This record gives sequence, structure tokens and C-alpha cells, in this order.
Amino acid sequence: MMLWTFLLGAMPLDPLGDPLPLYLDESRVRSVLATIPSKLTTCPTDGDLTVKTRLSLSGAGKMTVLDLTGAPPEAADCIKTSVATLSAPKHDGADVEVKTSIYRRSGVWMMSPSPEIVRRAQVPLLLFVPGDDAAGLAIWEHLMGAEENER
Amino acid sequence: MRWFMLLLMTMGCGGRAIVATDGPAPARYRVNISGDFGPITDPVTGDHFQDEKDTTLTLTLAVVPVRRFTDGSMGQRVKIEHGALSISDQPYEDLELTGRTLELRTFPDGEILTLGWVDRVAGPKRFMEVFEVVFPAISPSPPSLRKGETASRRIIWPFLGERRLRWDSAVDAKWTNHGPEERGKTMAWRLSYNGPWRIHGGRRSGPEAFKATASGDAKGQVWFDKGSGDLTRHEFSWSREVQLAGPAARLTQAQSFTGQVERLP
Repeated sequence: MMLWTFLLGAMPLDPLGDPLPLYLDESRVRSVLATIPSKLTTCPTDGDLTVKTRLSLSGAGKMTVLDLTGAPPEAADCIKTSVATLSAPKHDGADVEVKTSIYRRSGVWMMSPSPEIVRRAQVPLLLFVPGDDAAGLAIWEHLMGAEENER
Repeated sequence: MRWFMLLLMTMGCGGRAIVATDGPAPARYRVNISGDFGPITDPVTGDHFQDEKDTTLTLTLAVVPVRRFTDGSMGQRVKIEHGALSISDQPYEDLELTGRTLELRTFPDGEILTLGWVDRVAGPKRFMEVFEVVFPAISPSPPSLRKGETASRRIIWPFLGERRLRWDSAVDAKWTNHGPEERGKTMAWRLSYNGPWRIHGGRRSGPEAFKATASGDAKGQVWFDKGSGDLTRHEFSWSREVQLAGPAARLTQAQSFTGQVERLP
């Protein structure tokens, strides 16, 4: 008991209880995305752009453009290169995939306010189902009364 | 005595001690669980979705305190250093547990308050929502008992996932202190417990809401080092009948877990 008392005294106090940054949650993903526009100021473009993109944030802290549409080739290459130079937080999870848009309006780059984080399709169900995705999906559809592939 | 109390108070009021530049050393545990799972069936229609599965889960865990909270509880980072699963004696190669972490928040007596990020070790290919017995196994919370005494104390823990997914487990355990025993070169207190295990919860809103309930029994023995009070071993045998109820159907599966936790030197 005495050991616990001293150990507690030595621990950093966290009055809020926010989750430890072990994995990326939505707010951390947003803060990473918010750093993108400042890196794009040197990318060559003439007019307004709406760029749809799919990004990956790896556990090692790297950000990569997986897909990109809506920009001329030179600007697209510049965006990919610029994004790759940014550092993202390291995390313990699998690569986080994000679908979002990058806008250029009147010479100003900005991010979409509503990025979509790609999540795992199947939720924990308290049943042990080690089969492939189809096995889990069949159980889910039976439980929910959904048609095949309807979610 | 007064001087000794003054010394203790002075130490308590001092700045935070830096224990070591790398923080406290982790406690490491080896966990072995035999999980036997009955078929998944619809009790109303008789539909059969999966046959019985006999499994063995082996984990090596590193548990290290990382922060304390104003209510006196402590956050401990639990890293799964190694995880291996076999099903019907065949290795399951797709397991995604090795290297993953979560935060176990407990009171000093071991009572579990939350399991932060538990959803990241749950679901397909991870399965810790099913093998959740691991968490009370490494953090049992017996009452303070003298040798030969018996008392009741619940073992509780919640499972919280994304999008309003939650269920709560509770074992109404009756604990007995059997006194100190020799364990290798040291002495350890041995306590045993048994009691009914109940679960209720589910996803509480939205079109994909469902209810999860389970009932069963839990029993086990724990050994705590007589000097340090640390958990050194836990042998357990827990079982439950799980029932899920969705908008269209119900499904059931019997689950039993027999295993042990051993603290590594």
C-alpha cells in the first residue's frame, strides 16, 4: 500500500482524462490535415481547384497520397510531394485512411471541413467468429435483417 | 514517531519524484487461455451459422503505469508484446494483436474503471471483446481480508466501443483468503473466488442497435506476493452463454475460458 502511495505521487497528474495518443482519433486526424494547405502555396495552379484525394496516415508517422483527382498533372505531383514531406503523429494502429477534398479558391488553399475516416465495417459483437469477412457479414445480416451487402 | 510522520509528510508534499528517465519498469505477464466456443445458432429459427471452435490464445503483456487521475485511479499502458491464437490446433495467421496497446485505468486495489482504446483490440482478427476476461485476469480486485476470512466483492469492467457501443460485465464474487503459501523462493497470499457472471449492454441507438446479454459463472485463484503485494499468478475458469438480439433475430453462443496469468521475472 505504501508503495502504491509513493508510486501515485510520482505519476503525472491528468485532470482531464483524454485518451492517450495511442491511436489516431478524428480530432487528431483533423489537426494533421490542417497542416496541408500551408505546404501547397508553391504548387503551380492558375485558377480554382477542387481536388478529391485519399490519404494514408501510417503508424510510423508518414502521410501518403493514395489517390488524387481534379488537379492538372503538374499540380497533382506537387501536392503528392508536398504531402509526403509532412510528418504525422506516430500511432499504434493500422494505417488510417482518410477521404477528403482540398480546395483552392482565389489563390488560397483550404481543406474540406468534413474529412471521412475509413473505419472497419464490422463492429465487435461478443461472438467468436474467426472466419472471413463473409462469415461475419452473414451473422450481422441475420441479426439486423439486412439484405445481402446492405449496411 | 512524530518525527517519522513529519518525514513522511515532507516527502509527500515534495515535488514529483523522477523515478527514472525511462519511467517505471513494466510488469510483464504471460497469459494462456483455452477458449471453447459453442456453435452460433438462432434459438428461434434453428439457423446454424458456425460450428464449435476450440482455441488457445497466448499473450505476453507489458503493463506500465503512465498517469494518475484526480480520483486516485491510475492509467496503465498495456502493450501486447506478442499474441498468438490457434484454432483446432492450427495457428491462426491473421491475428492482429502483436504490438497493439490500450490503457487500463484502475483504482489502486485493482478495480477496473475503463479500458481505453479497447475497441482497437476488438472485432475481426483481434477478438479481445470475446477474450475480455484477460483484463480482470491481470487486474483482479479482491477485498482486504485476513487469513481464513470470506467476503463478497464484485469484479467489474466495461467494454466501450465507437458509436454508442457498450456492455458491462460483473462477477458477484465471493472471496476467501487461504493464507500465505510458498511459491518458489517467496511467500504469496492465496485467495480464491467464485460467483455468477453477468453482462448487459449493446449498441444503444441508430438503425444498427442491438442488445448483448450473457450469464454464466466465474471461479479462480490468485496469488499476491507477500512482500510487494503484486499479482504473481491467476488461475481461472470462466464461462458464459452469450445472447445477441438485433431488430430481426437473436443469436446465441456458449463460451468458456480456462487459463492462467503468470507474472514474468
